[in-house]
Amino acid sequence: MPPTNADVLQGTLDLLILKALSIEPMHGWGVAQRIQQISRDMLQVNQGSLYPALHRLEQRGWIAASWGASDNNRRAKFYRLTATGRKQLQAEVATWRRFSAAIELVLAIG
Amino acid sequence: MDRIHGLLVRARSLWRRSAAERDLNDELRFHLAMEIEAGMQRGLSPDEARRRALVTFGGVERFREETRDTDRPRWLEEARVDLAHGWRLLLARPAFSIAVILTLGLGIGANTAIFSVVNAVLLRPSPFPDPDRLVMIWETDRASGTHHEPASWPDVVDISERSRTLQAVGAMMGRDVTIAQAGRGDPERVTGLAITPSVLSVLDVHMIAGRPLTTDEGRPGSQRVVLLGEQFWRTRFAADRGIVGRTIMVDERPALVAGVLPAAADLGVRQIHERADYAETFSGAHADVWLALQPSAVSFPRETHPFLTVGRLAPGATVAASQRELARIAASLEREYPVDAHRGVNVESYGSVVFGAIRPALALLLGAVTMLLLVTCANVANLLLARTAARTREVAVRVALGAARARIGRQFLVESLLFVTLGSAAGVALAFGAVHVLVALAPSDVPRIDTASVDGRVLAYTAGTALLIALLFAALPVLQMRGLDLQHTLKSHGGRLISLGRSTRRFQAGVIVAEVALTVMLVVGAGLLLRSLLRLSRVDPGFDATRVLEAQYQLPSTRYPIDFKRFPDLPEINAFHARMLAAVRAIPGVAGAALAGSPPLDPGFTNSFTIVGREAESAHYPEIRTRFLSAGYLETMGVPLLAGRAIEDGDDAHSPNVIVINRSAALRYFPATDPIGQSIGFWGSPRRIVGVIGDEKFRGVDAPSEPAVYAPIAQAPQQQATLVLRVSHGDPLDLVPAVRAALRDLDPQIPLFGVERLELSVRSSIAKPRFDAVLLAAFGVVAMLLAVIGVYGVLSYTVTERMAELGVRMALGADRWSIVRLVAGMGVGLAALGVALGVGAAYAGSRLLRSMVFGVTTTDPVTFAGVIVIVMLTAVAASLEPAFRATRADPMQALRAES
Repeated sequence: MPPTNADVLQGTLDLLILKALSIEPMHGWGVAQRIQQISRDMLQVNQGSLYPALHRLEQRGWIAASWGASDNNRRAKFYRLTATGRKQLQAEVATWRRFSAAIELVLAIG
Repeated sequence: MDRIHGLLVRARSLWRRSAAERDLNDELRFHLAMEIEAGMQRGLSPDEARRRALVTFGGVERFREETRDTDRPRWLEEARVDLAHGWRLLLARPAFSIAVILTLGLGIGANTAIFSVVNAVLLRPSPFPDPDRLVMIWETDRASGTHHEPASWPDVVDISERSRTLQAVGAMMGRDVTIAQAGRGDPERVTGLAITPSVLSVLDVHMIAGRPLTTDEGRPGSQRVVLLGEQFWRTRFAADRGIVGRTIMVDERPALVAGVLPAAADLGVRQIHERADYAETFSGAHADVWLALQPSAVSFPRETHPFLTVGRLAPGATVAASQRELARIAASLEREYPVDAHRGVNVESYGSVVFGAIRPALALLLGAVTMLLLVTCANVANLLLARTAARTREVAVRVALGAARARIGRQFLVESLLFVTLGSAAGVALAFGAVHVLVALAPSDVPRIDTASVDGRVLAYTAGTALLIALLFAALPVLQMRGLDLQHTLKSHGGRLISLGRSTRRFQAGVIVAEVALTVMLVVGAGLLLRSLLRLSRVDPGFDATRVLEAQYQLPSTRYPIDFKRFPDLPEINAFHARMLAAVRAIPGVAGAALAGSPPLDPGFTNSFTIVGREAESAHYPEIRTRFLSAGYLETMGVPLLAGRAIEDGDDAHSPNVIVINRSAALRYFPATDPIGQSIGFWGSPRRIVGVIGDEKFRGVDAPSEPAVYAPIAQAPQQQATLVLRVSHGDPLDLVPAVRAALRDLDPQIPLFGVERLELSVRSSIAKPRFDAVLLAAFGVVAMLLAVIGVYGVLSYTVTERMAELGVRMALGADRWSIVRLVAGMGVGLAALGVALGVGAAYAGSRLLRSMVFGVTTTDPVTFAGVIVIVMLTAVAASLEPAFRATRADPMQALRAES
């Protein structure tokens, strides 16, 4: 088991999934790998939170799912961003930027 | 949009659960496979890669559950679990569940069936637009004190022309006719309604086919036109629209069929005829044909009152305003025409005339069946209370494990919903059958009862009732569990019953008391109606109906004309009646035969009369009931001759006019003198009284006796005649073929109708009180049965629960008898309290039955005493088994169980 890096911060998982899927449609495992890759293994996505999150986003209509074949020709469920999902992503990115800037400001004191 | 989408996904996952589950499994399996592959690529052995993947993955079930939770609304999932749980509980105790469901089914079913009748009779919309504007216009007579007399034709015309509050006025009268169609079977006697064309604009009904009557068709001398009633059109003419425009034979004369009226168009006609002080015959439940009346002041002069008058109020006019206006019009008619002396008008709303008689009876039945439902609910509530007590431990464990009380309450709601739903389903199934029984049992003069069915409104009513009951049942255990002591409950011994809380026990006792009280009220009502039914069935109608057959025929005017110039010497009619009488007397097995103008128990009509020599005094006499009969009537009907002689064969058109009066007439008009030899003047000539006979009932057996005169039918010839035949033995109906043959031999064009055992006619004259009494008795019996079960159940439970205590009592020397008294005393005590309350309520409420009882007071001591005794004995009987079971408590066992 690799040393646990920061588990994905509660509430940011949705943002990360939407961002990952904004690059290209992919299956659940791909989403986890992509987040890990881009963050240079800084962020680990727990499967236990990943799939509930995917299903939650699907219900909200931000992502849509369909079954297809994976690279190695297995049957896999592919998720893609919907139009509302894209708007949501922009909103969440903006929110996150404001939030992290605020944190930076606080930490910068003294 | 998002929300809708989410709902759709959730809904899909809920209802296609297995498909969604499969998807999720596939998705997770794919993830696992990818993880293992990645491990192997990093150089791990396949087994090691698999192990690590599974470890990283964590508990599959856990997040499968989490994923599922996001897929499905939580409350729905919980409801599903509750439902499954409830269903398991239901199946776990089948006897209990069946008892609950059947009890509820009985209560709800009876309720649904009665409501179906109420719905069909009272609640369904009227077939007439703006039914509130329909009125009946009666004439009154201050001299005789009548309020519901039909009107004379000139009065109808004058009222119609002068009134501003009435927008249309129409006149009608029942008129049974013989219908024949060339080349199509035998002539048929059917129920007809003769109407002025304006009746159709008063009622404002739409034709099914053809056209309404034109104003011209209501004028004397114009073409004869008929409309067909829908039912008759369907059965006799197979709903053939082609019949419109064709000609059929009505009383042997051609008449044009102009159109077809819907079945509902005659709503109320039967009730109007019954409401009238006297009226022409409207024999069936529905009008088979509608005939155009063509009255004139010559054919219907102002002194004859045959017309039932309906009106439609002008927009904005009220019944009261119309009454005031018509009273003014009547007052001026009284001044203008001497024959209208003492006359007035009485305007009533059509609805009150049609439904006035049945409304209290239906209200009574609905009230009674609601009481029955409450009794069933009380019983089920007690069953559920006992069961909840048995489940205290389950609840305590769940509360201890952190279940929210609201969640537990909801589970009880789901369970009681399950019971009530199944009970309602059983009830509705029962109601479908019961409605047919009710319709068959009901008297035929209840308006539109034949349309009763379990329709959407009835089902909605039942669903509403069921929901109310379910909420009630769900509230019980929640209240019961409110003061639950977790520590105590969890610590108590596993094998022992958990005793009911004090408040629960008190509540249960209260339920029993209420149940018994309701039962007492029901049974008192049933008792009063049964006793009055018994009185009614014992009333002497004044004749002996056993082994008597009645049958009617009507001579058509074509071949048997009434020529008033020669009256009463009408040889065709008189000869026919004489030959018919001779023919039936010759039938083997006939012990006696006679003719009458109208059937026994048919009110017939009344006439004004004078006593010769006392004319001034006679002017204030009310009209007297007038009957016609042939020789042999008294012997055939068993009516006693009290004085003088009976009508004899020699009393014919060529002999002096004679008359016979009944006992009431003799007492009323000749209290001090001998009526024999006196003369009565009516129909324009004096008639000598030759005899006095016993009173017959004319308007149903519950009506008081009234004065009547009987004239020889040969001295007052009638086209319509009723044949009464007494057979020496056997069923009088066996004679019918021979009677029909005799009639056919005389004239093949004349149908025999109204063929019935006289006994049956007498019985059906009390059909309405019997209907109420039988239903109330049935409800009473069921309620009593339920009360017995209720008392038994509660005592039984108490005994089981207190077995140990009772055992200790026995061990300490209590004798069996005191134990029996202790236990039975509880049951009898509760029942006594219930009886006391029930009797009090019944005493106060029974006055509502005043219009429905006959020969007993609504506080009849015999009924009340009888009910008290019966219910108390029943309570004692219900208490005995548990009481004796209590004496079998084993002291040793009780002591062992305590340790």
